[in-house]
Amino acid sequence: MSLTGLPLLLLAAATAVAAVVATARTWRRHRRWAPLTRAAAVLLTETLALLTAGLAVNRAAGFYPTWADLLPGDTIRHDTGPAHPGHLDRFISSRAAHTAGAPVSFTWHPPRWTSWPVTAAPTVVVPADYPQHPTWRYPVVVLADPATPAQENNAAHAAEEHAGPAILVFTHLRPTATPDILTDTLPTGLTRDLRVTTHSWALVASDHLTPLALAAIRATPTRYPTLVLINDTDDPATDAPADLPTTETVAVTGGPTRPGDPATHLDAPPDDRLTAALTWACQQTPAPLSAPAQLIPAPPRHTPRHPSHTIPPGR
Amino acid sequence: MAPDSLATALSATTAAALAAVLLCATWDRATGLRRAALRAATTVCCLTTALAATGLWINHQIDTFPTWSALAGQKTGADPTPATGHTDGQLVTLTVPGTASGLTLPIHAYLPAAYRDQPTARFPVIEALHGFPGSPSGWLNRLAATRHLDQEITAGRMAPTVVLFPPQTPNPLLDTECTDLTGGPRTETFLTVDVPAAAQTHLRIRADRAGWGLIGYSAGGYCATNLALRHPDKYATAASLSGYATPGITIGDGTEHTLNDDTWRLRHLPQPAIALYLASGRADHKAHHDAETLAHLAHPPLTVTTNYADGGGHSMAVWEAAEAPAFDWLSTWLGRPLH
Repeated sequence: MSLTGLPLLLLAAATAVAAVVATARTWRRHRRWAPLTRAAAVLLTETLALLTAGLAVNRAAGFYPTWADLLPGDTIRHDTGPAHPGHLDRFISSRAAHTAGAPVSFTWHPPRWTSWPVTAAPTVVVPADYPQHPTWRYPVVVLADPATPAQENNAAHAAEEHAGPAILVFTHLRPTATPDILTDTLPTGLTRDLRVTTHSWALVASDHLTPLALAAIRATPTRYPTLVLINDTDDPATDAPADLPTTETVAVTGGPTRPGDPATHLDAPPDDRLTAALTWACQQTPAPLSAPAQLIPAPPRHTPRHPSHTIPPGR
Repeated sequence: MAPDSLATALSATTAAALAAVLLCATWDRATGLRRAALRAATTVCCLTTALAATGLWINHQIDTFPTWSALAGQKTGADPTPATGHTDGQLVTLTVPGTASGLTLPIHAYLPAAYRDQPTARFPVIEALHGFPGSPSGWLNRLAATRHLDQEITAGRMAPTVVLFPPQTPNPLLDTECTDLTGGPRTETFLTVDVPAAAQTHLRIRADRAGWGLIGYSAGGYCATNLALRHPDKYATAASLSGYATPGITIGDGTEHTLNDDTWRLRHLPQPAIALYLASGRADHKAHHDAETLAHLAHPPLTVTTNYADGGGHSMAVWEAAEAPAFDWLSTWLGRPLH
């Protein structure tokens, strides 16, 4: 009989009424034991009346739809298990053995990268703790900024030291690149090769690649909720573009921004702007984490477990 | 003994049983008017204790009145015992001056162990909202939020995060649904302006949108999604455990049918770039239906993730099962602690 069904409610109500009648009719019987029988009858009647009221409320609100819901069930089981390893995890572990606790930097050659609009294969810098945490997924900072390998290396080390771990990708994009390299091609390759998050990345772009970065952000604001624009000149910082999503977090390097500009101003000399931009971008991303615990249903215990459903941003 | 404790509920039940015995034992005592008066008094006593026991059992379940002073209508904070283990977080209480809302209320704040160990770090923040009827003690007692938070952070599924437990109403029996009621409490302003301002004054937390999220169960679930949709410039993400899509109350300006109706918002207004997590039991038909509706209406840049437990009703058991995954999920959308 269902806990929210009408039959149980009617049965409880009828029983409560019967208890009232029976209590009244037997009130003067068993005079010797009257205090006990009367007390039992009163308590039974009260309990049945309250039970009926409780069932009516439960039927209306659906607090406990089944009997199993009433019973204390198993709580959540935290068995998320290891994340699906990236294709390059083993390679990174072997490289990390020679870097003595420093970030692992390597030239990334994803499939068909030669057809990408880049001047050279991207450079990827993986945090030093990547091999030690095989269940973690890391946020990504994508850089569309020309820099020398030495500049990239210095900036990556400084960013990890000041902001914590994130995967950095120096893309070496040409100015003629189209946004899909940032919104689709590159994320697809990274997701296959490394343990990365699927959202909340950051994008760092220099002046001449700003239009490309803005187009990528407008297309996928969930992928890139953070943008840093690097002004390579000594000119005052330009204002953040006005037509970005209101939820976008933007910073600019260079001279001071104008009052009222929502962008954060990163004050750094020209040689340190890449480091400042990278550090700030890393700080906006989530921390590397294991996969969330799974929602294991407590009641009812006998039903099969269903997977959770995720509606991706592209839904 | 607090009014939400098991001991109080058991004591009240015992008193109700004794009242029934007293009624029966004295039924035939005395004569005339004295008998009638005695019967009336013991009958009233019997009914009163039965109803009181029922109410205390309900309060034990939903934690609407965590203290006797709250039951008496005084605005006081609960006094939860802070966690003291070295690896555990701690619970502190601070008073939020209602500069913008006019509501001055105490709130509890969970500080992760890293808050003590990293004295210069600034942490992301989650506002945790309770259901109605209820109080922040629902999170702390029945849902054991601090234990789950310690557990998830230690396991590496959640970044060290400060979690605030504000009341969503100044009167435990007034349902505000976290809105600014016309002619009533301005709890939306309290939660979105006064609480963040007080937290930034007293705690080392991130001040930017990327570091702020919301979570709630039942009415608090509606609060979480509604406040995030209404204030995407302040919150990056929100999680709703068995929350509905509409407030179900009269706000006073008709916005329960428009701006405070989440389905209306998704149909008629541009959708913000925030991330929502909607969890419920499949048998909680209203909450499940509303979550499905919101997920169906959502489109980029709004992201909706749903997670349903088989069976399950509109109950604390479901919310306790769902809270850890929800906290973990929120953490994947919030900015990291700043060092």
